[in-house]
Amino acid sequence: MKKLAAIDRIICVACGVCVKTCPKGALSIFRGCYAAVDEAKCVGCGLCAKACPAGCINVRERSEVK
Amino acid sequence: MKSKRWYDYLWIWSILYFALGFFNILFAWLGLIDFLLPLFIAIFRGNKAFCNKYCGRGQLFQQIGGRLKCSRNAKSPSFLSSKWFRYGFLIFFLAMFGNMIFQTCLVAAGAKNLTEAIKLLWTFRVPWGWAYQAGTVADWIAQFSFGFYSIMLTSTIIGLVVMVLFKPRTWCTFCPMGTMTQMICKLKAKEKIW
Repeated sequence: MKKLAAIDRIICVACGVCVKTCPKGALSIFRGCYAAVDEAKCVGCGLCAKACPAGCINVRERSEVK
Repeated sequence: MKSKRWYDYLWIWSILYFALGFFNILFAWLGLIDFLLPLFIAIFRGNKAFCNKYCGRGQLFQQIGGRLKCSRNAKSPSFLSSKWFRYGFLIFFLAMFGNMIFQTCLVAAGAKNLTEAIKLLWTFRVPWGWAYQAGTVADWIAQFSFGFYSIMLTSTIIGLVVMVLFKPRTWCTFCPMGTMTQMICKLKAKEKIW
């Protein structure tokens, strides 16, 4: 897996739409503050990025995110 | 496909709420559940489980916008999820809520008569007299019902408009309850709120 969902924590509203969308269960809401990605589970499919109403998720190359 | 849980059907509650208020406005008081529960969960549990799991309104937008495809599914303008707009809308919303409480107090004090109408988008007055038999309860209890139902209906209308224009749950980005609960959670988790 080369790609990964990257979340802009400043913009994230913690609504939980991405959590419901993710087919891998890789997303969770951290203490009601913002979405967090489990890098081991994320396959970079981008479904969460399409669903996010705040547009705060971008699928990026794993090497870029680090 | 994830299996459905009982709370995945709470969008039915959202429809039921408006249906009940159409026939008897006193049911509007039930909306306080949607108002207080998210705050209690945020204050005592420190999470947004309400938004994430139990919000019937968000689910309703997902059903209509997602399942019934009544949404353009377009990227929403970034200002809608910006801090100043979210906090600004929250302040405006709370001011309007305060005004509604004030009107209720005026009626309770006998300084104003009960208005059997719904106010949409804080501007348009819609007669709603059929949903209330004068004298059933104290006037202020009825006044609060009309006021609260107005707020619920108004926010749903705004939510439906942004649902059609942008993504199904675009309302969630600037929902005052969401902003408030996230703020409480961030304070509890010692995260920056701006």
